[in-house]
Amino acid sequence: MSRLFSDIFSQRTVDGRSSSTNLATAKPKFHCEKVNFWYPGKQALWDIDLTISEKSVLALIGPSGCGKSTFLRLLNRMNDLIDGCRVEGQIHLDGTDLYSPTRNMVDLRRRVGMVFQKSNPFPKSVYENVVYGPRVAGVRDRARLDFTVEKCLKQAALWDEVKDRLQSSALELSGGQQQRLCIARSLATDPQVLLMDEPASALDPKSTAKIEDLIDELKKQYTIVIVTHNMQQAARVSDFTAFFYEGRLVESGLTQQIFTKPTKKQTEDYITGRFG
Amino acid sequence: MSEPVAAQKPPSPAGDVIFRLICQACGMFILLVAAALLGILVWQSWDVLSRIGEYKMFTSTDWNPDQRPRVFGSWVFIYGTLATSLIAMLVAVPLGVGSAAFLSEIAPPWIRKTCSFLIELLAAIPSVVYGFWGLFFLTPGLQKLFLLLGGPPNTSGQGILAAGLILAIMIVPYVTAISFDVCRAVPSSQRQGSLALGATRWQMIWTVVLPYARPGIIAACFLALGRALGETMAVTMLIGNVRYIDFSLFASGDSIASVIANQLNEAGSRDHRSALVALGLVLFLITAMTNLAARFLIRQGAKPRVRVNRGPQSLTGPANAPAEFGPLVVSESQWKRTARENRVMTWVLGFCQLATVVPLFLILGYIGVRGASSLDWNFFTELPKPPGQLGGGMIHAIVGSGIIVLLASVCAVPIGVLTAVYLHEYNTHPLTKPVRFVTELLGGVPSIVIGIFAYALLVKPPAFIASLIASVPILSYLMPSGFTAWAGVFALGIMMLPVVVRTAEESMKLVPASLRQASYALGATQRQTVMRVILPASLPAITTGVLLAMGRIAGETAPLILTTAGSNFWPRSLYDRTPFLPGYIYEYSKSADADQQRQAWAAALVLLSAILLLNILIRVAAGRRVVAASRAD
Amino acid sequence: MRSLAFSLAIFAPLTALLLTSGCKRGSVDGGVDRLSGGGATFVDPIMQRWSSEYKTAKNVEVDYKKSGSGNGIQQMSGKVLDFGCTDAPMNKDETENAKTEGGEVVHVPVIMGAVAIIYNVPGVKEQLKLNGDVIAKIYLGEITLWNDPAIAALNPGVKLPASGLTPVYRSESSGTTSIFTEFLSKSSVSFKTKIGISKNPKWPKIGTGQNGNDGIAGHVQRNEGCIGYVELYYAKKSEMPYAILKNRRGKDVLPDTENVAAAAKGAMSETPTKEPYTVHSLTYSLTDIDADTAYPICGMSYAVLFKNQPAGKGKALVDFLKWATTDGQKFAKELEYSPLPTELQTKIAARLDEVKLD
Repeated sequence: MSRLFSDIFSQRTVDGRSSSTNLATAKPKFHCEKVNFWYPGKQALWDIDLTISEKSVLALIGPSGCGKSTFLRLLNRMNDLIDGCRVEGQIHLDGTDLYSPTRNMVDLRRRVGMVFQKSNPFPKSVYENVVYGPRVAGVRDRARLDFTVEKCLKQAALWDEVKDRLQSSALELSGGQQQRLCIARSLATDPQVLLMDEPASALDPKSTAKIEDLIDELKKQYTIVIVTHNMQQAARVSDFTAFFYEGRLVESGLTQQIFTKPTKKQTEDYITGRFG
Repeated sequence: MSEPVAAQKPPSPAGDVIFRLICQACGMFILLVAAALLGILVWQSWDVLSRIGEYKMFTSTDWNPDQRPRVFGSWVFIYGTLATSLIAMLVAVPLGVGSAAFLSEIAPPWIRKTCSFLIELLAAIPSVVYGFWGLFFLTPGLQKLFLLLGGPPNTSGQGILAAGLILAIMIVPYVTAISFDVCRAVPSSQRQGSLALGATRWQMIWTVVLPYARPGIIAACFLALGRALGETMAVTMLIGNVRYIDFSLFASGDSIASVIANQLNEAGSRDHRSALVALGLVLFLITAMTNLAARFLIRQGAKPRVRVNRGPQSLTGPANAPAEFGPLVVSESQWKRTARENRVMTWVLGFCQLATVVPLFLILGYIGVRGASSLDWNFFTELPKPPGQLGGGMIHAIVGSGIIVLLASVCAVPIGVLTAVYLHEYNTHPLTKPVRFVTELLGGVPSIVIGIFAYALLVKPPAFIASLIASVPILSYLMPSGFTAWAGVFALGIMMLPVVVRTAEESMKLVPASLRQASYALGATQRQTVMRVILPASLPAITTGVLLAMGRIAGETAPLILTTAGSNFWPRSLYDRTPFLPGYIYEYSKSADADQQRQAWAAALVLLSAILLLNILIRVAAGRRVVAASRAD
Repeated sequence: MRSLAFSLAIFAPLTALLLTSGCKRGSVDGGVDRLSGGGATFVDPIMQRWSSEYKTAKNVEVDYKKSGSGNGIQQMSGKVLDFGCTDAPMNKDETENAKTEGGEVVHVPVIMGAVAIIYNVPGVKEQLKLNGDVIAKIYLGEITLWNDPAIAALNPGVKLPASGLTPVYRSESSGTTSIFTEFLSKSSVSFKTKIGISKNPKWPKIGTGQNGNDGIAGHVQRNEGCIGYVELYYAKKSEMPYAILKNRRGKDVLPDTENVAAAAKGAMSETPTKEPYTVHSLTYSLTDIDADTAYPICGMSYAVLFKNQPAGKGKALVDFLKWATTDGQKFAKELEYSPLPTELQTKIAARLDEVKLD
């Protein structure tokens, strides 16, 4: 087993894909302490303690229903949309309480962008999809919007493919393009964090590779938290990995360490494919 | 080798064939009815249509049926119909869409449940009850408002605006219910995508949910418009019934449906009758077009349409190459503005919801209070007393209404269900598509047009048909002339037919395919499968639909005025004039006689309670039963 | 076969019903126990009373539905009703039209009554005095305020408000409208030329149309500023004040049974010279009669029926009309009508004897 992953890690070094920041000295972006979470009538997360470093990629792995997506959605308070759910414990973003009653949710979601499992472009033009965030933030300046569109589409490696059809429907793009459009859309609000919920699960290998390259590029500027079912993908793109099992955080740490020398038996079983 | 082949033969091919033929015949019957409807309308209006210039039908505002030369300029009525519908749409669409957005996106589940139930009740109130309430509650209020606003002093409160407002109240439930459904159907990934980009809830509703739901909402508006255009009783009671056009909002007017209801019975000359039928044809064509537009949009509805610019596809060249912009910073004042906008619009949407359901309480409350104080035991035991004698009742009308509605259902349900079987089971037949289309079309025909059809075919048949009836004895039983209960049953039955077909087909679709396959796998024929498996499994849902439809036709007034005409005595046979409860509400509501007004309130209360009770019971019972039916596997 | 039986079972009640009602129908034609009538709302109160009394006395149900005179004439002509009632005799067109459907039509007067002018003026509870000219101006849209000098001049001492005045008229073809416009045409030349006598005239751009005498009464009762014309019984029932009118001799008269009788007496002393009264026997114009106590807007309601009647039903109808125009007249005063003069009653009986039963 470790052969497979050690291949990946050696390949990463060859590609120059290893962490660009000094992982040891990175500033913490999120800090979670004793986080418990309940859906109406049932607890979903137990006592999660986790720190997420700035400008790094954290992969959340674990079997289906282990709570990794739930945890991801706590970070931009998307779970608030569900009636009757409840959070306990501390989550800090840049040292301020994420769940403080005075927190401006709209501001929070602008700073913590999110990309969903299934691409969800709005039924609007490519251009309008990208400028959606700035527009709802009140930006009216056409030059600024144009600038944003070009910048974000370039960042999302989509510019060359769509620059001549900005005004046509976003729904006409291919699946992989749509997902990159959604990433570009998230970047348009200048977030500091990008949450990705299995962003490549519905895509073919070629599109997946593009998204992974993109993540590697984006982490220079953004803190990225990605949920994935794909072990190789986690090993390929992330700096840190956190393994969830049945609503608990079993183990977290540097990706290379988790994948090659896991300390917990459950982690090793999962990574080697013995369950899940 | 011949033995096994014989064993594979279906048990009773003749039965299967006969069953299929019966189902097909029912489907053909609907085509026949629709063809007859259109045929009668065209034929009976041909006198005027063929000399349309001479009668100045569409070139004049002068409607003069009594003096020679007769002219039938119908712009007064066309204007009245369009103006009232326009007012209704202007009020109902924002309110309906607003409250649908509120229910779908903002309201907590218990409000959503309660309000959607109340809105369904509002849709079940009969037109004549709206009109009655409008006479006593809306128009005196409007008159005071007019004077307060400095309108012309010579206004009586009735008119275009009053009729438009009552129409608005009547169609809001339709707009709301359908828009709510389409809003709910917007994928939640769209909402989350929007919120995750920092949109407020209002921004999400305005920029994502409503645009996504737009085709469905437009369809809802068309359906509601079709209903507003064809509405008769409430309009005729409130519009003022005058024969001139005055473009003031305060002015009286008249509508197409209203003038038909008022004059068809008293049209003496052939061309007068012909002109009224021609107006009916116009109404039929307009409503058919709106309904077709709605159906078309609903069928398209699944996919949202994308508004794209046809302009330059790329950013405009290097000349425009922008200077670097810093990261997006949102100013404090912008924050506050967005947040305030969100707060205000949440309240506005909540207010839309409130404004939508408040009329229900006003109507229920007003009629409840006045009706309860007017209701006594005599009402359920006596016939009407002559003027000046107190204590009459309306038992004969309650019974009469019951008989007509039951008979209409008895006629419409088997035909409707078998048509649905035809549409659902024999859908390879080349005529299923036309039958389904015609059924949908028939469902949108205004009740007054059905009334004209029954009147022109049965009550006062044209000479050709009359002589045909006289020469074929059996026809005189099937098509007795004059005002008869049978003509009313015919009209209401036709109104009910499309509803039954639709519910039955929809509920048959809910029966799991596995059930049907199991039946066929056991060697059952198609007829056996339908009769023993599919119909029993969909029966609860069909029953629910039929009961709801009965509640709807129980309050119908306009077609019955033209067909059964009412009576002061017990219903006697299918070939007599027959009393019906809504007719008395219409007749007594306009009276100045306190005793008759009391009777009208009591009648309205009884009718309303019966219909609402039926609706409530169905919903309480159906929730479980429909689910049970769809879980038949 | 089960499904076939099932389908038959569904249709069975329908078939059974058709058959039973078919049988019933046969019995109806033989022994008449119900007459269907309809039309004028003017006559409706007393017709309902007659219907109730006649059912007790003779066990025949007279099913009268009010729907306006024009309606009564048309439904009778179309043989949808056994008899119609109208307050305006059928005009030439209508008579011709009926002739093609079923032959000659008989008119018999059944009752006489007054058309009262009711109004709802905020703050005015007293009986206003009006004359034909002023009412004509109101319905022509020339007087639009209650404190108009023309009204004030007739009512010294009454404090009239400056509120708007809305004339209310009938929305359907109505004999009461015919009586009313006949009076106004006799009182005002300008009304005669602009609107004229009609059951369903084209009113100027003012006011609102309501269905039936009851509709006008109800509308005036509910809406301030309105004025309308209704048969006296409806006026009394609405509890709204009604006007004292100046008659032809310049006397102020109230609508009541005596003043109607006075008008009738005057009318019958002269032979009618104008259509439609010349077309039918026993029809009279009771408006604007030259007599001291005659109320100026009186009318007579007529039953109209075909001269050729089917034996059973025709006999029952003739019997009823004979009863109504003799014994039935005793209920007139209770309901604010004026009974037919005795000499007219004998003429009516003779006319009804001319009805041919076959």
